[in-house]
Amino acid sequence: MIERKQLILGNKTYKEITDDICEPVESSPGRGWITLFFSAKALFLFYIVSIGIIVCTGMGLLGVNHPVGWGTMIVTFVFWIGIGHAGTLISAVLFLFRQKWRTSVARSAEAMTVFAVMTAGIFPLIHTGRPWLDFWLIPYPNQRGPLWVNFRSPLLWDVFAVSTYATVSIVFWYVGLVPDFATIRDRAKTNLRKKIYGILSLGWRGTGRNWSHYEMVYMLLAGLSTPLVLSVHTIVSFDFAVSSLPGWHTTIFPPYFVAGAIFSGFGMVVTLLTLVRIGFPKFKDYITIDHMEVMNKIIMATGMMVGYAYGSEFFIAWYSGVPYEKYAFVNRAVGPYWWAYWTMVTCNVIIPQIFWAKWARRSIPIMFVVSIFVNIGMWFERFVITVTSLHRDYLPSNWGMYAWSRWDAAILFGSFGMFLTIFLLYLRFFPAISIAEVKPMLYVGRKTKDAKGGHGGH
Amino acid sequence: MENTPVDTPNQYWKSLDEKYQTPEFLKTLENEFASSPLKSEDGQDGLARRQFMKLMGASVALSAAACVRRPVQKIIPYNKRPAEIIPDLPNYYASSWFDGTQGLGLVVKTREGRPLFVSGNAEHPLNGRGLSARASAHILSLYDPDRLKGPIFNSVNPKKRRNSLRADAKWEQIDAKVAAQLKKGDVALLTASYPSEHTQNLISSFLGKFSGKKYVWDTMTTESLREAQKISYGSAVVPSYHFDKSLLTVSLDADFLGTYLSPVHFTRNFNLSRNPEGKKMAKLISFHSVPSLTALNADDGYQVAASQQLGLALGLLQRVLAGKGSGLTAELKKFALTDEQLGFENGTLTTVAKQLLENSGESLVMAGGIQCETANAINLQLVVNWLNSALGNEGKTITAQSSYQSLEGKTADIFELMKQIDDGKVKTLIIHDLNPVYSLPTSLGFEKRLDKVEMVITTSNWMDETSYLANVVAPAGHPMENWNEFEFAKGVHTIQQPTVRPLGDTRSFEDSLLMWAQAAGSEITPEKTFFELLKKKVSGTVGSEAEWFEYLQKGFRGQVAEGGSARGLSSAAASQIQPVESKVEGLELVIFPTVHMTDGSLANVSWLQELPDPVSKIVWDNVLTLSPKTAKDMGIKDGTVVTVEVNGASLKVPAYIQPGQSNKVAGIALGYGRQAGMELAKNVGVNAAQLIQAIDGKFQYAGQSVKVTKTSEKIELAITQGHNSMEGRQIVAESTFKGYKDGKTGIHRHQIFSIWGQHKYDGHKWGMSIDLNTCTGCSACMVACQSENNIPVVGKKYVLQGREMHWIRIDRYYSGSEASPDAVFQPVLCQHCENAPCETVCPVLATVHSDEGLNDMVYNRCVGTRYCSNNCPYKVRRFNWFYYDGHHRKENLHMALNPEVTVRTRGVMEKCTFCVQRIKDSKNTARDENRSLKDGDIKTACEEVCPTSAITFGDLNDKDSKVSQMFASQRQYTLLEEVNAAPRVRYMAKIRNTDRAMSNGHHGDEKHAPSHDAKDSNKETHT
Amino acid sequence: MSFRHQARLGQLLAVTVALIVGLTSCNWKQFTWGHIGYNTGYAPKQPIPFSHKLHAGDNKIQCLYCHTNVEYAKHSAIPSLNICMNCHLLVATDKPAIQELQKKYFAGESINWVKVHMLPDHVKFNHKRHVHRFSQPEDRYVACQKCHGEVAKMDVIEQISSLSMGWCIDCHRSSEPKGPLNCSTCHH
Repeated sequence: MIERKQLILGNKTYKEITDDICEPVESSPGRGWITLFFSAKALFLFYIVSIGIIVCTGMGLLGVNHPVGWGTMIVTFVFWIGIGHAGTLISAVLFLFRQKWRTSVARSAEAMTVFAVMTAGIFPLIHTGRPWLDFWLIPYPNQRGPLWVNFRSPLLWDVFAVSTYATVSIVFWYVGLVPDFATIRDRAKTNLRKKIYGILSLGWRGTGRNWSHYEMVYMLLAGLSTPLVLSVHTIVSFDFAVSSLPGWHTTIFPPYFVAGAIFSGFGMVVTLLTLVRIGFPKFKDYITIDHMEVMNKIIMATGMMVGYAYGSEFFIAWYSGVPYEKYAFVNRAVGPYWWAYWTMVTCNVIIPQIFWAKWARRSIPIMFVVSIFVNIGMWFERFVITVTSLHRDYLPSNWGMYAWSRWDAAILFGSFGMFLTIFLLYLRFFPAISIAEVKPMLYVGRKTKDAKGGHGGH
Repeated sequence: MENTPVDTPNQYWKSLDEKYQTPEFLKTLENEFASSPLKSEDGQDGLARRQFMKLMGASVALSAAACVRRPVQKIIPYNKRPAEIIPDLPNYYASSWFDGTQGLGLVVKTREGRPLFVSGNAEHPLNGRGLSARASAHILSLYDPDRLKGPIFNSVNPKKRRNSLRADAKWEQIDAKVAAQLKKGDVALLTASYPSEHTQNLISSFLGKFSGKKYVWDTMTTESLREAQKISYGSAVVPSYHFDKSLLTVSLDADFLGTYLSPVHFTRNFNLSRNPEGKKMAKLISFHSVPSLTALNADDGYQVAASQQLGLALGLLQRVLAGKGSGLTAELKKFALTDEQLGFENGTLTTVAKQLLENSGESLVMAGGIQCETANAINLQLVVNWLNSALGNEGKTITAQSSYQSLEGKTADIFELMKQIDDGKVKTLIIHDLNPVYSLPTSLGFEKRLDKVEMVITTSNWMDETSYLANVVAPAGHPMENWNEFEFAKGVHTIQQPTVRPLGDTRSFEDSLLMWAQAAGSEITPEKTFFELLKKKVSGTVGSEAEWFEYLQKGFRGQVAEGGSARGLSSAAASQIQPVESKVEGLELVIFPTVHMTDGSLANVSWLQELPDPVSKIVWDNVLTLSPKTAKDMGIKDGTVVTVEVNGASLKVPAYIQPGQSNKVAGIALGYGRQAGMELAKNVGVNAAQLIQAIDGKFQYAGQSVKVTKTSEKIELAITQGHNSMEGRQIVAESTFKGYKDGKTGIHRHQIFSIWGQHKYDGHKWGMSIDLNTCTGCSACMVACQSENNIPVVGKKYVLQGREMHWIRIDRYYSGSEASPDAVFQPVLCQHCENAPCETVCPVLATVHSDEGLNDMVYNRCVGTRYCSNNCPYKVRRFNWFYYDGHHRKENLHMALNPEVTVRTRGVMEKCTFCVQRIKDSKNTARDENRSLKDGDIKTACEEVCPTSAITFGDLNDKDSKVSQMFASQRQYTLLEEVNAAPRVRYMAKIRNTDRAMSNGHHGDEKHAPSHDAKDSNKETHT
Repeated sequence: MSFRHQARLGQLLAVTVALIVGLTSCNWKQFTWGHIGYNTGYAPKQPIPFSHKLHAGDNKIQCLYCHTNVEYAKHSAIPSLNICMNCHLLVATDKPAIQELQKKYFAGESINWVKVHMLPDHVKFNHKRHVHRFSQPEDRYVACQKCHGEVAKMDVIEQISSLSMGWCIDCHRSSEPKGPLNCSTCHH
């Protein structure tokens, strides 16, 4: 039989595990982190200001126009929501499938999910013409008759889908954090830390009862959030699939979007974890090359699913015999936005093929570069779907181009500022690897069960 | 938030009470009343701001969440309400407007004394209900912020006028100064043709008093036409043309549907004879240098250079005469061109001549307009007259009975005037209704000569190019502010009654003349004002006071004289034809008028600047049009800046590739490039008048050889429709007349089935039918809609970003070859779909279905997700990207707003509502009269002004309604039927009366349309 | 701090969250929020202390004697000064307010009444339709009160109805025959 790979390297003891993982939280940040953080924060502030200006002046600052009614904001919204998928998948689905390797990456993946959804959540709010009236999308009792929302509108389904997803993933993530918060609380030197982490740990004592409840809740939440992995992006895809626009009106969208989402999600996880490994060398023992390799496999697999979707779209367009449909897809490939389409194909389908080679799968620099390309490619996928479908639809007299402005750029890059700021803070204040979940994996694949491993932790 | 809202405001208002007594407050109240009662405190003026501060202070002092209203609004009732005004009920006045060459009978809608909307006077013998885009738009020039508020005097000596200081003056001062000057005699009056005998009489008696002389010149000249008429038939008149009697119209560059003479009247008549249901359908053949609206509506179109017009005409004449057994003289023969000289397929001319002969007496050959003002202008007209007489059309389709004899402009007058000035025989020059400094080329030196005149007086309403150099500017006010009576066509008198009191301190030209004469001590009439004079004269003819008012109500008297005998062609005419050999090598220039700009007098009307040119669809710019081939040879693309040179005069202007233009021709439009007085129009485009050539006493607009050189610069052109091909989709269905008679409508119908039930309509069920066969694309509907529905303009920058706001747009598609394409026009507005895609996707129910089938758009509920627009297959929804309302706030412009229609704020979607406010009004009227709605009670704005009644709105539940019958027609089809949005707007297929095998894109045999991405053309059919 | 404290604090957090959620989703009518933004009870001081109680109440002057517009147009319109002068050329000319009125009238000026019943610009309300709809000629008096309340009892005119959209709709739904409920009935 093939012997199991070690999940945790470097013959750790339980204590060492705790020390390693708590170190970033307990030590003061190094120069690298600080420079990263402040540049990210500057970008974040810039983001806030640009949003303010756009809201005060009008959507006209962006490139959206007639006929292209949706642009950067929706594109980037879908992009971030997609990113959010890997987290739930790793933490929930893999958990249910008893994938032990997930433990050391789950925490960060989930964190990324939460932050990505937060980032995404901003866009639907500010992309409206009158953001101060967004609350009209919530069905609440009012003095207008009362006047309700339109439950037939996919945008409304979005409101529910995304908010549910955000809530559940936050709860799931937080519950997972509770025991670790307790650990930090117990190791805390200053009183303040004790208080804060004490409150965060909701009075966790690590008794048997605590643990059994914890396991139960965790299991339940995992079960609860698994369908969400599918539902959210399915519903987001309805925004397009339910409409009557050639290029949007496609039944393949739900699975295609979910696959894409997982694809981009793992792309982002790899990007971040490679950085984490560099930033916190000690984590290399927990987030091992094997972990990365597994994720790269997933990237390649989902990448090919997406590729298949691209192909089948063309087939269906031809097979349907609808001239508008046909034109829409021909126009994607050879129309004015051909460059966007081919960027997408290259980044999402061709480049990940390098992972057929084991050495590539296991090379940090290569996987980092590839993951970046995946992110770019997935942003362009949403751009292609949204913009190139809109810019040429039924009546040629309406055809136009998207009037990209510098504000679009500001919004797009600014959102990364927001995401990174929060993520960097997370790395410093939350245990980036689940101590409680990793410890049981200590002996997986280890040759000798020497007695070195005392029990660390409390 | 707990305190009961009932008592707090009372306390609060008590607290404000003492503040009310402050003198400063009372003072502001006075001011506030002094300002227009239309303005409530909208936070714009100081009062509101102070009020706001007080309120803040007060409310804080009282309680956190007391419900106080801000801003406080005031109601200021009339002191004595005028009997005819009931607040928010409109009054209608019959009036009229003279636009250079064409006169229109109007009905002006006013609310609380301000004109809001103009429509045609339905009974008027000339234009009827129909209007031109300019006529609908000229209402906005009334509220133009750049209009002069009062007279202006320029004190410094004439030589230094340019850099002198101008001072606003009182009329008394002006009158005194002018009178003193007039006493010196040697008065010259330069004016344009003006079809008012009253004004003309006044002018002549005025000039009589001061030994003055009148000089008349028209920018849109009809001179050569009249001269030729004189030679051929003895009287220099502009005859009237009866398109309704013509079965074959051949236009030699005469844009009679767009800009030539009286387009609205012509368009109306033209379509009377083009009913495809009839046994015969009139045909239009166009020979054009630069495609005009007429050319695009032609059944068969051919390209000729301006210099070939005469040769072509002679070629036709030769063949026609041959057909009648006579022939041309030898020297004329040598000028007659053959098919291959003209670059036509062999036998083209013969065929046309044959068709003309077949329709002898029922055909019409027409040439004219500034496109024909070449060296051979008069010769061309002579040949045309000959043709018409030879074909027996004279007296049938052309009559002198009801002629436009009021058009009297002469180029000679300009030269004569300049000579007089040079000889120092002009001490005072009064310029009325003309802007010579702008309309004449600088090379002519008219501008410089103004220095030699002691006093130059203009009556312009703007500090325009000429007024800028004048000593006295005595603004004559807007036509809507003045009285007059016109005789547009012989025997048809139309009253122009003011519909608003002068907004500024202006005085009509006629009143000025009276005042000046009086001030100079030589009174013309006992009447003090022109109105009294006018009324006395007119009452003299119409009779009693009662009849006078009857006349005012009706708006016109007299009819177009019917019938008429053929005038004999003078034998001398033939010998008068002395063709001039054209010395053009390379490209030749054609200066042409556009439907919306023509002479540029309304350049400051934003509605017109943003109205896409019906042919090129360009807004906010003037271009040099080149044929695709020429452009390709010269390596010129759309927007490439080129320098245009004609005998020294040169301009820099972006080029535009115009399909269907003659390869030998470069065209440029008049009316752009205003330099002074009009902030909006300033430096929009360039002034093509600079290229007009003055050659032996004539102005030549066309046929001059021109040097076009490409530069490296590039200008982005704002084109509202970038793609001209239908991509083989069924968008405009068309068929040939022959084919239609064999039952081919060119419509491909789809089997539609739905698993869903349909809406039920117990009451009304609104619908609209648009006949693509009668629509000429004149764009009057677009402006009318803009005026009715408070639609903002966005300017070139944002049109470039695809953000124009028109609720109804006119799509123009080409099919066939680039060199000579067929064109179709299609007005597209909200289709008010049964299964409206927009309704299902709006998350907040801001757009919903009404129980009468309307697709309601609720601006105040809209949060602006723009999902509806994305999901609209017709893309007829418009979004307020910025706070466009702002531009209405400028000075008087807010007075042009229609109070029945909400002014949309930033961030909301808007679209055509089928003029729901008009539907409601008509319903209310019917209700009050205790009757049910009759068909035709409701007229949407676009329908109301359409000269050809191409648009019909009505109730589909009423089986006898006009629209129901149209829906039953076999030409009726649905745009994008296969999408099954089930629109309430249906189109009627276009029928082209041609013998060519028509291309019908939808059935796959579409020849490529001229379009950069025509290569993507998709030839699949839906089967 | 002890585990217990932390547990309490944790629970506290949970409770607050629950409370906020509960409050926002509970029956709003219990609160006065129903009236926020609507000016029910708004009764500003007017430049001239005109009393409807005196005119419509004690002297039984018909509403339409002054508000003539109601019969013809959408707006009921504040009467123009010449209507006041019909009586007040002679009546109560000793009162300072009336003298003020006369002064304004003869000076050709007007009075800046403070607007009480105010609908936003995007609402189109037609008085004429409603007056005719509700009433026979003899009881128009009542018709007005339907929305404007016991005007005949008011010294200072006061807004008694919320004029909220719900308030309009209620009537359009209930009254017989029903009023139209299209959006374009009031918004265009």
